[in-house]
Amino acid sequence: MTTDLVVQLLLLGLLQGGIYALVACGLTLIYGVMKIVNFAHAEFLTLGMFLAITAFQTLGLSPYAAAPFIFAIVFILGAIAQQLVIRPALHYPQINQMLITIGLSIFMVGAMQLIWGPNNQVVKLSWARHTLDFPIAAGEVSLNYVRLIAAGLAIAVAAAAWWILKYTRLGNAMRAAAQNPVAARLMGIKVSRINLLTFGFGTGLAALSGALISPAFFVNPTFGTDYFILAAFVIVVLGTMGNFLGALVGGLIIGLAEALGGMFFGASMRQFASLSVFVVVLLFLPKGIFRGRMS
Amino acid sequence: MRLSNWLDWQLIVTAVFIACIALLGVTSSSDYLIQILVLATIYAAVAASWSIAGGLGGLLLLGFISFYGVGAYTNGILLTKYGISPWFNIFIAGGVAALLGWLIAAVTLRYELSEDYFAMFTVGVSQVLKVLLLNSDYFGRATGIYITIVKDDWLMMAFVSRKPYLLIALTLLLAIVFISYRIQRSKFGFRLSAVRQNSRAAEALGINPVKTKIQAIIVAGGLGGSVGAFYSQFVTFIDPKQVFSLATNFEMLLGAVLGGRLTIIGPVLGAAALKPLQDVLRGIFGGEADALYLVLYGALLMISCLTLPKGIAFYIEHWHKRRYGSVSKTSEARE
Repeated sequence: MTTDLVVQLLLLGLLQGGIYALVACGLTLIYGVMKIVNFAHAEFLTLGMFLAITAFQTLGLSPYAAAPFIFAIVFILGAIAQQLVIRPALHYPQINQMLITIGLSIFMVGAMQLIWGPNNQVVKLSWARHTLDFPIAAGEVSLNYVRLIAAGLAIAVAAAAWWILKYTRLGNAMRAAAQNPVAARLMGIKVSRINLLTFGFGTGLAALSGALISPAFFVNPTFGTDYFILAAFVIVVLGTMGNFLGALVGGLIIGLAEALGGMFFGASMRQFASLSVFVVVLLFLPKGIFRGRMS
Repeated sequence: MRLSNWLDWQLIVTAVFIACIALLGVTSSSDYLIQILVLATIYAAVAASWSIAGGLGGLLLLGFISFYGVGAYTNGILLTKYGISPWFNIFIAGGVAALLGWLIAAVTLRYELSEDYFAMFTVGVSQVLKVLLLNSDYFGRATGIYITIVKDDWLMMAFVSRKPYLLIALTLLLAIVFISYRIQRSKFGFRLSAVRQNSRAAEALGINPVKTKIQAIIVAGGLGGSVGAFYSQFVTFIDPKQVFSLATNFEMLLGAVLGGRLTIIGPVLGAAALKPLQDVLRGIFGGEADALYLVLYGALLMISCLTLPKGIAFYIEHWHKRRYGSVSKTSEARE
């Protein structure tokens, strides 16, 4: 394998990692605040992709123009889902909570199949296949513009979300609710409202990532489950569940690990690399790279 | 055996129910009906196996399909490559799946990790097994394994008619239900309830929670593997996407949760109600049925977890208590 190909694969892995990071941020945020593992998280990403396709086909909007609206729509849908099925289950045994989010996931896959059909679809941007080519010492590397933009915007959005968490009143309230819901309530924070906003925000971020990658991937109702959920789980465990920055770093690490895994075992074995990282983390760093710190 | 004892009552009622299904199958001439009955029985058997770890043990063993798939492939490989009879393979598959259970438990329960990690890990394992098998020439890649059946052969569990399979499936289900019953009456069963209800208190009383959990995973996984081996013999062809499907996985768990995962009768009831529902829907809606079924059973899963967190069997237990007046010792100990 030549050096330029290796560099190319690693760069592609980093770009994929940027998307993973944004998806995992939402998941880890929801876990951190509500202690709920959202098994339906990848379906919100798929929903974002389908909404981008509809916006493109009916209104002629490019996914980048539609992304803020998609975020807003899914934010509201996520908040509604939270209110209807997650909130009543917050004090139930964990297994019920998980099965409820699994039920939500199955429900969404079925609903998306009813609305958009089971077949593969894509946003046909005219420049979707264009690449940015630049020379390196050992040859030439070419990166797809769509993926470059998606990864760049994903990192930017994740950084903005981190800033919101760290420096706004709302973000502080969220972090307080994550650390100690009872104390937060005593300080006058409406924890149920924070839960609502967190779930909407987290799922909105997943949908936003979906919109950003919609020109680069064919989407069908099970796309999220097939390609994203396992990686997202590994990332949040790697970065300590509930740790926002951990999800960012973890996303990039898993992106790279999958690229390396694909290089050594073939592209279809990438998920194997994810799980290997999962096992190694469980064995040697059971609390994640941030040693269990939550925020 | 007394009807006034809730555990005994469940075993007797389940056995009678299984006998009725057997009678229905033997007298029926519709292959379609028998096909549905066998699949429903398989789902019930998997749900009953899972409930030993997921119900009694309170473990978040969400990716249970791994054991089922590994069992299915064990029979596929041993039969087609080595000519070993499925009668043996059902037991060997149980052993292989139990080994997988031990591996998963050894990796995840080592540091008493958070339950959330455990749940996600088991789901991850099932998907990675799928990817591994999809990429392995030995296991036939995406085409999977075909088992050819040309004539009746008792020794190789090969039948042209579907009826014998129904009887074998029901026997398997009865065996699993009986094992679950025995466990609930054994010391192991009481250790499991103790760990589920309060792991720390159980530890203070001298129970090793990690060991108990590992044992539960091994037993449940092994039984699930046996059912998978039978499944491969019944459908005669298996591929990774089918036997490691997460949708099937959750469908099987839904049966147990809807029916009542802390009971013997619950998983059987749940599967008996759910599996035929899918076929009825298919009959009514045709091509769109699969999507509709997903919507319906996703909604059902959410609603049943919210409104019936203990399953249908919880209400049957209440009725049983009123009917027979006394509270049996075992059920008092259970919750």
